[in-house]
Amino acid sequence: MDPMKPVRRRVVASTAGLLIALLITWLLTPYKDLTAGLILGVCVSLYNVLYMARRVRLAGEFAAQTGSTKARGTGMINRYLMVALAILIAMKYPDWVDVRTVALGVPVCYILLVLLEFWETRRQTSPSGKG
Amino acid sequence: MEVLAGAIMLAFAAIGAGIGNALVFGRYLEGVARQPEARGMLFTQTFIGIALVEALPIIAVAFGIMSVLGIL
Repeated sequence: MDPMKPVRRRVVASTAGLLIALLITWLLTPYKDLTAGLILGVCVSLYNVLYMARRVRLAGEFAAQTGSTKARGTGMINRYLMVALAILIAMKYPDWVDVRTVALGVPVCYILLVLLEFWETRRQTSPSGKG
Repeated sequence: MEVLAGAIMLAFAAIGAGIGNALVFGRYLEGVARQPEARGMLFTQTFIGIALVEALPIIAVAFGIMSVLGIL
């Protein structure tokens, strides 16, 4: 079984909930450019987290099979270029997407991942199992 | 001046995240190579470690690019 599956499922589910809430905000409020920037930033953030998970899993499988610790990298430049692409898209369409909220949305999934795993670890280690 | 500031932000973000990621990822690979059956537990901890290391530099990258492009 893929050891990453529960972690990935939790992150994707919570980010999907956040994106749905942002989409409703985009539909119902006049702050469309701010919300669109946040949606773009959160999408890039989710891609970054899932790409990082894939690279770490592949490197772990390679190390487990061969016993070698030579890694092919974690794709850091790729993730940073995705952030640059989101900023460039926001700059290309300034009437639709606000650049500042893209920058605020980019670290959302990382923070969400840390909080979710902290909460899950606390829930598993507590005596009642309820957190 | 804004371009220089943005370039310095990008450079230090990349250097910091690179060193941090390398430390976490290198220990993960050592652990998996030594004990492959502990991969699941090590994977989750590595993932959280990399997320913690990379959250702040990625904000710096975003603001650095904005500074280089003259938005800030």
